[in-house]
Amino acid sequence: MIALRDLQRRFTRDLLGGAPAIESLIEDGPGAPRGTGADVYRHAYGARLVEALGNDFPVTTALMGATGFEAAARAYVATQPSRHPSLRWLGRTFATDLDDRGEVVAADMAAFEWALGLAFDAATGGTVPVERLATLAPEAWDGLRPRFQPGFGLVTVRHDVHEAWARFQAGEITQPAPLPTPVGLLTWRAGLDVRYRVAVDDEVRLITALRIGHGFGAAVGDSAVEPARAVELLAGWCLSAIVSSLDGGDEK
Amino acid sequence: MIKGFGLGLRTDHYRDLDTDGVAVDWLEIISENYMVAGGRPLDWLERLRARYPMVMHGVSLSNGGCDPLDENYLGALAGLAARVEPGWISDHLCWTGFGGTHLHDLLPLPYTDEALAHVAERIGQVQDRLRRPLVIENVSSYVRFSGADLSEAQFLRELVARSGCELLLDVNNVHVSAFNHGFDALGFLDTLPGPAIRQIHLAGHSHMGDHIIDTHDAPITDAVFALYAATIERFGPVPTMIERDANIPPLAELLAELETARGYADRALAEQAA
Repeated sequence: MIALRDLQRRFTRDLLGGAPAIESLIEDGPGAPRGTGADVYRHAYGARLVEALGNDFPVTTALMGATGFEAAARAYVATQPSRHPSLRWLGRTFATDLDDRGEVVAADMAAFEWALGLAFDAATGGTVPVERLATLAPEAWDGLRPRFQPGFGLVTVRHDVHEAWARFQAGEITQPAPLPTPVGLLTWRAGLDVRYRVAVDDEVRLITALRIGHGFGAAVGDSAVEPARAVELLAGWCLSAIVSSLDGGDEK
Repeated sequence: MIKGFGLGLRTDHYRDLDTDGVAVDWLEIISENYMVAGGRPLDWLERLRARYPMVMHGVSLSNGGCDPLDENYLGALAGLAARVEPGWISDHLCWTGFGGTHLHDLLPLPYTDEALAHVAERIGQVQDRLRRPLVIENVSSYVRFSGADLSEAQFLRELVARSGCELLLDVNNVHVSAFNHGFDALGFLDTLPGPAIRQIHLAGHSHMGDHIIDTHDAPITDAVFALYAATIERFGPVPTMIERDANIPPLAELLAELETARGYADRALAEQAA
């Protein structure tokens, strides 16, 4: 009898698309030849992963069509087999893979859907009342570190996938249109509700600088955003629950 | 205390279950679906946990795998158990990946002495980590490895004896594997250690002519209900639930099927008493 480890190695290689090996490990069934049972596992492996990706990327699936999506999903899992015990994380690099294959519209939509998914079941963060900003000591602003909600995302897209996504929710499937210039989409969760909106250019720069780890003062400088405008953006983030806490914000 | 008849919790039924008077005694959750940080999944979990006792059922522990047990996974499982306070935690007698690759299927083991020793040791490690007996489910299988030392039922019996684990008896899986491999389903039941059976699964399957696939996408067949009745006659009123994973019907339809299961169990217990 083959050792357990060797059996699992050979079985796995077969399922991942290697040379057929399962038949050499098993016996015929009473009603079906051994190849039938082996094929059940071979079929189930790919079908299950494609189904899982379809569940995580429903609008991408609609845009590509079932056949096109399945081909892309199978190509993806062929090169990026699952490395996590939960299927939840299978699609982590699917958008990048689509982009690499030249499926740029689908890649944008997949990146957006993945970001929405990250917000959906992220940890629950706090909220900061906008009135808190008025209580900060003047010397506290430089070192202020606004923390974004867990699962907060900034996705840069080249097509108006957010518009197509919204239309899909209303039952309409339309292809996203190219944008004159790429835009940033913010994704987060307020309470239990996943939210998104288009970010303006200076907002993208300020968020990027803050997420690097800069304090507010350095981030304002790095992003070339006027201080008053930066405070206005921060107030907006507090109002829409994009910010979950303000670290280093000593009060007056 | 888990007793009576339950359902596998599915998102389609969240709202209908979140009402008074639903004829379900308990719910089984898929552990991995709630091993997330927050959001609606955990919000629904807490709301429904306030209404129903729950058990946890996992698909990724890979008790029979040769990769090291995943400490991150075990930690998340223990964390979820602390939140849910389940009646018990179950997973399958199977392996789910190799070499760091997860295949996301319940792959069968060879029923050998080597595999028995391997699985018993790993279950012991899991039980130490979770500080409770693990409940192990028999899987549906489509291949039978050459050179087995034991039957599947003998393997399960020995596994219980060596590791102290308990059993989740999936009656549909017994029916499916018995057909696919040509063993006697009643003989399978008679080999199991009855006192270790903590829970029963019922589910539907797809008959392909020369083999059966465990699809969980259809109503329970008469043959599986008959085997269920034989199970209850042997082992008594073991908590029983229906697993439906695809073609999810309205809750009322599953409740009607659960009522059918109750009827089979009642008649089997009456016959046993007579």
